[in-house]
Amino acid sequence: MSVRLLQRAVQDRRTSGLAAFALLALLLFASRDAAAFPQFQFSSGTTRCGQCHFAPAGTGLISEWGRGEAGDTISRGGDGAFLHGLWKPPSWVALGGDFRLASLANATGGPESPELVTFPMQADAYAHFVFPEGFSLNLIVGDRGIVRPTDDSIGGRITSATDRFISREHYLMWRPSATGPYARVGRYFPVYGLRLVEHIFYNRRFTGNGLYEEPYALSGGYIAEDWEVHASGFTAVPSSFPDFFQSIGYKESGGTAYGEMRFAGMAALAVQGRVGIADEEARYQGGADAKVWFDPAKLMFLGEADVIRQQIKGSIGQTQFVSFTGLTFMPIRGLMGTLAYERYQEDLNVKNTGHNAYDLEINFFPWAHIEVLGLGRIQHNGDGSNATLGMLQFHYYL
Amino acid sequence: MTVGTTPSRWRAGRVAVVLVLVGVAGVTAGCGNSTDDRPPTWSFVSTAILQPNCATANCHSAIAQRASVDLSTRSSGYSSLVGRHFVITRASVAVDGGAPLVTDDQRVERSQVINLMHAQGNLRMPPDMPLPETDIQLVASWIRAGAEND
Repeated sequence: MSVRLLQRAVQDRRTSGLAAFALLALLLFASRDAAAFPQFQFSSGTTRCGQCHFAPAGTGLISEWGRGEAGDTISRGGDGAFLHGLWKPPSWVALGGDFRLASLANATGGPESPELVTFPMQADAYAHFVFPEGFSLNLIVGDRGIVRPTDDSIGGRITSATDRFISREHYLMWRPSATGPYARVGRYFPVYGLRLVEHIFYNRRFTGNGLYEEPYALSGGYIAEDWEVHASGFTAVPSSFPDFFQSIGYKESGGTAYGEMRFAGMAALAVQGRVGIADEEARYQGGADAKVWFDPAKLMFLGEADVIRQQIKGSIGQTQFVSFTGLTFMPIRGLMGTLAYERYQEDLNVKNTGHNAYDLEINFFPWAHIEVLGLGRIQHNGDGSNATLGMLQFHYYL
Repeated sequence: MTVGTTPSRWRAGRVAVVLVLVGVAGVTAGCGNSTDDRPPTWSFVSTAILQPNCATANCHSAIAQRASVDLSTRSSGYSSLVGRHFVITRASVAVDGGAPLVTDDQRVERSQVINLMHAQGNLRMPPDMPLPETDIQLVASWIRAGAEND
């Protein structure tokens, strides 16, 4: 081993030690809050993600309760039921869909900037089949959103609409009641992090929760009124599977753990860990999430911080940091604005490998089923380079 | 909404303090040495820089392969970049009388992958977020060192 690599190894150990200490301090501080409190609503009158979604910790198809909330407390009005209440599916199935059309202005510098594109961002259909004894089968089938239409001059594998079909989620779940134990097996994201909608945010993209990174998993957990725990083992979609199932990202196998406490109907604190091992690298990561809702001011603070140790096979390792800190203001029903700061540092040992992002997101829900979203995002690297993104998005859910 | 008890509000306040720490940690995480001693090898460059930044859903993942470039693994990435001449290896340079016709610095200058990373406008890679210059220089160092599959 050369002197340089030896020095690097010593630095790695120091950085890892500091990172582990910081993480431990955060977890210990957080653990002092680990007390049970009555369950009250946060901003929408609902405290558990699994109340509004069929999935135990949120994401995916919304439940009848969630559809009611969509019309009653989240949007300016309307009927949030499937097909706006025109037809009610039989009790053994719940259906839905998400459709997004987006326009982007991506300022990258130079005479061609900004790049302007309009594209179908999402077209997903959902089904939740109910079986006896608390079992259900959950499916999402949709179209991979394509930002830039394939140009024959540059080629690419995705050339037709049928190439783009994908099932991001398909899993069997046992969840006999809203609270209590559950188990599920299939393809989905194991519970981790804030689970924000925007996949471009660093705390999703660089923690194994990016777009189309859903692995196959086996999970179990317990949901109580004021706390919940989730544990999962997962493995990447095998490369031999058809494109319809293929995922993105490191082909890792591993496990996750997530525990959340809720306080006073206005705050939640979670700790989390994830181990992912692939042929070319291994990642060991842990972090914490927090949310606080101040009802008089209609403000919510939310944040996530993760430390990631990536060990690269055949090479050295690096310690990374990812965070999201946001402030959401909900002045009136149906309107919310979020200011956020994101940080991602590729290697804590190397200066100028950091990325900063400043986001302003406005979400307007004029009617149940409809969302109009505006996002402004400035990314600024530690070395001074930057990029600016503006996005206008129309979202309709069935 | 039901209002929480005073002790519960204190605990909620502690959660708020954690949030502030998260933010502070984010700001102060910009530490590190000004000397980049990461190894200029393909195993590191591919896994640490190119895969997370370039092998994304719409771009150079195995499923998308924009411009027929698949950077999702070391082997596919090396084949894509070298095979399509986005990177000029030392071994591919013709030799005249024992001396290469193109110097190491010239190979870096002529490697399209570096030019694309430095480009402005729609050609810049990655299009959504520029790579830090530190990362680009590490890729350049790998090319300068021969651009081997090491």
